[in-house]
Amino acid sequence: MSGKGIYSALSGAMAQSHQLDTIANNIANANTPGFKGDKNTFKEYLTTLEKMPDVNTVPRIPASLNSFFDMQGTDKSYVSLDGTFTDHTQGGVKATGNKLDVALEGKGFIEVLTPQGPRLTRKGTMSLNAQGVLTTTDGFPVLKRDASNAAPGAPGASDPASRTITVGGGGTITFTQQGEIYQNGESLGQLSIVEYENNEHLKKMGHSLYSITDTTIPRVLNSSTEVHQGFVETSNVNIVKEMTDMIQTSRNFESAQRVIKAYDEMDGKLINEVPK
Amino acid sequence: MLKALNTAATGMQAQQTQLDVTANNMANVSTIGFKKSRAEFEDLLYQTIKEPGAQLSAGTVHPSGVQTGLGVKTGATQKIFDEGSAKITRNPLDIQIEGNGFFPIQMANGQIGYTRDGTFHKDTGGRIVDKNGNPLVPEIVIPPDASGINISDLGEVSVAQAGSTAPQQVGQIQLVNFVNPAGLKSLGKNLYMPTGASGAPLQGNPGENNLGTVAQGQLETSNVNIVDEMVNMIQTQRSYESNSKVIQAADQMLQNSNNLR
Repeated sequence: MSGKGIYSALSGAMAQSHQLDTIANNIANANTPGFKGDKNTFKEYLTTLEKMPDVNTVPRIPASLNSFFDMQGTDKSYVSLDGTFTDHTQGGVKATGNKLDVALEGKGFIEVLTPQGPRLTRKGTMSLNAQGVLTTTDGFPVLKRDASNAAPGAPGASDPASRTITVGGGGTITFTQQGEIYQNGESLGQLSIVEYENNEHLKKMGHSLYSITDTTIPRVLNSSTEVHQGFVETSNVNIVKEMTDMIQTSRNFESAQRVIKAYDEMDGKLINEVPK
Repeated sequence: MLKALNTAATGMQAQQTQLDVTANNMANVSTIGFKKSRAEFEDLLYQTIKEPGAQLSAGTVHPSGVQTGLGVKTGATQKIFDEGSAKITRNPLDIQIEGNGFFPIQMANGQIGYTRDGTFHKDTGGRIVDKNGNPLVPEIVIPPDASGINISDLGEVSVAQAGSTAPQQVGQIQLVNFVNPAGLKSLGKNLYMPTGASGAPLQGNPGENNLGTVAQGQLETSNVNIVDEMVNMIQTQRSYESNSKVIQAADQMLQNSNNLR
């Protein structure tokens, strides 16, 4: 009797533990503004074929154990983690009344400049630094739209450091729905809202930032994302769904553990009691 | 699975911080000139197990990688400098700043602190001081025989003295503004101190350079909104509970692994 099945059960248990890690991160960030929940997908990881698929001969021979092997070796497969996908569904909006809070409605992101290069974020809670530059709460400057409309790195694009927004003195700052910034009636530029058809190439970096792993993917021109001042986008994590997923994960882990225990007991009986 | 335990622990710590901030806001709901704080969270860095965009085979690229988040942390506690509402007291030395600006106060240790709290009194020498005895900068002295104190919108302090019909100006209140008031450091006693994040103090007369005007006989109440804080508190408590359930599930799974044999 082959002991390979125990490794299938083990891979199942490891997959469930990874699932719990993702659920834990989603629940911990259920109140983080602009947070997008993660989902795992798993796939079957096939072992090598035990026996090559055979053409089924019309049985004029007595049936033997070999007749039952036509599952083509796919009866022992492991679970492998296929990928972690971020769910970019729109979160809710919460009114805060703060002039420097914006919520994005749509698929776009705000572009910010970090020492490692431009990054994207959905978290629209902004503040001013000592020089009057509009920054995120971490101190990364928020960028305005490139006048040449080119993607960064492409020919004709201006240096991201030149696109920071400086707010002079006092006077309330107003954001229009298209992201234009006005202070005392004069325009300070338009917030750079970056939108992609498909957000799969964006990688989470922590600090509520996303990095663009593939700069050749084209951006959507004429983004339809709206900017709402005085609101903050809440996390899109659904606690009820995460809880039910967690129950399922916990019980799946328990089932995998039972399988491992069953293999153990069978091996124990085989080794200890049969030779008696 | 140990990752899930630590991740949930960071979630619980973040909610504890949120509750502390909410409690402080609620406690100061009737403090004159108090500005509410807000705790802001952000997710921690991600552990990448498989890079997105990695080559699977010639021509096939992995559409998304495998990443695990490690939880949440408090990014900042920001003070929200919205204006509070006015409370009419008719006390001649109660002043409210209508608009931007802070009163500079000379503290006992030689530094200048800034406050929005306009409850002032006279000390034995007639100087205008705050409730802790620290004088307003620049110092204004009210002469002992003055009968009425009048403070104009632009901060001119004038008194009516026996022996002259026209009021005499005895001083000028000055206000101070900052580029980023949210970057000020709170010292307690309703005082703030400038830091590198707030910018240098810009002093001026009330009404000039975007500074607000002063109103006598009024006080600025706290800008805490009780309904907001109550809702935050409910949310905080339930988030804390969810994170504790994650710890329980992780604990149970670890227990199961221990009972494998």
